[in-house]
Amino acid sequence: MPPLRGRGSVSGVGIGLRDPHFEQLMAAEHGVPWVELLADNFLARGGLVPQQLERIADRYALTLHCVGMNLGGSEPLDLGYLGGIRAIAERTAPAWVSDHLCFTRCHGHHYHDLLPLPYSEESVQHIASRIRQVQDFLGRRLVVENVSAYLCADAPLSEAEFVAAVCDEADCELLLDVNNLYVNQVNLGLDAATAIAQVPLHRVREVHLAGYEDKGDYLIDAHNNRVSEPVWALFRRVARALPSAPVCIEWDNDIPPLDVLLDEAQRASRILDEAVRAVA
Amino acid sequence: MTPLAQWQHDLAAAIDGGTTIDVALAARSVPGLSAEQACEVYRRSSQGARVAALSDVYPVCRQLLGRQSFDGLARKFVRRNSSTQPDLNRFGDGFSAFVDTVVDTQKVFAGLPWLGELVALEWACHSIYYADDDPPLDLGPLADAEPSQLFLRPISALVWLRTTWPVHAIRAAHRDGDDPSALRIEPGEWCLVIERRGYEAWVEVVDTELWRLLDSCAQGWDLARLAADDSLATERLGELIERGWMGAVERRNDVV
Repeated sequence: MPPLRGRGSVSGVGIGLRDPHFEQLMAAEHGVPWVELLADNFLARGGLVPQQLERIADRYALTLHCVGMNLGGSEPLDLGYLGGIRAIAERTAPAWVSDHLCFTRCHGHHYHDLLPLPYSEESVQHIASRIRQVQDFLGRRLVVENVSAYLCADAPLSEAEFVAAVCDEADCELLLDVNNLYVNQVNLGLDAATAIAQVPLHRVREVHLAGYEDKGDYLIDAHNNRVSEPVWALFRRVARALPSAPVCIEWDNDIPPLDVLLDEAQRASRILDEAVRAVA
Repeated sequence: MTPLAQWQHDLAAAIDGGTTIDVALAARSVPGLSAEQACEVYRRSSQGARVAALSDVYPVCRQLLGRQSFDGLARKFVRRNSSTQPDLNRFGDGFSAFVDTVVDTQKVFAGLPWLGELVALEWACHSIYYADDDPPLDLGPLADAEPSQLFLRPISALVWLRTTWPVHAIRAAHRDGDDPSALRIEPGEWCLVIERRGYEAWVEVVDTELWRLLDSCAQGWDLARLAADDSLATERLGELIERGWMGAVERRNDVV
């Protein structure tokens, strides 16, 4: 079967496609220019899943977002999993494929969570090497996302320095999650704007926006809320530097009606428009 | 072990090990969080993802037990059973056996002696949904081959179960909005075949004869062995094929 092609290009503000919104988004486009597919939900090769993929790819420009590559892990890369991702990519022709700067597996156990790495030179070399392997396997440049972290090793690099070093070493692109970066900086008592200034913005291929949960003493990257005001403020800074970067609204828990996500997307679009006008 | 591998080992052990936190990790939490709190964040998230996956796989079990009891049971299972595949849709096999081990021990399960069988049926329906498609059946290998060289293999999207309770009816009543109290739940014996129809799992009660024939094929019996067993209704092999339950006719030349 020939590969399918999403309509249009990935630009402007898209949303992370989640199951409760699937039929609504298939019935009408709602002004959503593109969607980000959580590729791990589409690994099945039979039944309804391939048909769903066809419907999405026929209607939307899309990207593939992964959570299972285990890029930072110490165990060999799972070629079976990567083969599944490659097959989805061949079918849907995504604009790009992304995963996270973390590890997700240890001693054969999958944690289904994004576990942090020490910001060390060893980590940089290790994950960059694996990113290069994945890029070779997929035959495309990978986009990697910064993650939230609640434990930090005693390591010489800052988060931004770590991210920059990995992107340089692996020659990959960056999915800048503004919310994750904000959560980390606040939890560490650091200034998020300073951290943003250190991120290699020339590597940014996509921006994520999501909501955190305020636990009082700390923030959790729960993806269960609207984007917070401080994160919008940080996003304005990013938008001024990257007015044409595609942005994705992510919402993974306590998923609200689609209209709420569309509302968030419209707000992000307005900020991008302001940034474009400011640049002009 | 490299420092990076050690870090991963320590963190994974802390997540798995409940309250035991490695000393090296204790100095590494962010200011607003103790190391124990930080590990608890990861523990909850990791376990929560798997509990949520079980909730999706076992909706009738969850409905019967109530959210709190189901989540408690699922957390126990998750703590004892790690996920061995990156695809979370593949997690939860074994929950039936786990339920069987606890069903006689707690009040919440009183009156539900069939819960393990119901859970097995729900897993079958779930796995059918995600099973591979099979190519069209090719009967070519049947030509010019000895029966002892021929094997019929069921399609990927097929499960066959024997139950001692009418769990198919219990599941249907709870899913279809019927009045479950109208069900007569008495022990007996049922032969079930679960297949995919229109992308959904379809549960059918079949006669024992057909079920045994299907099971014997799946066990890898060649056609000669099937024919030699007088207790099997081999004249119904065509029915298995007509129903679309057979995925392949395999010819093995190494078998005489």
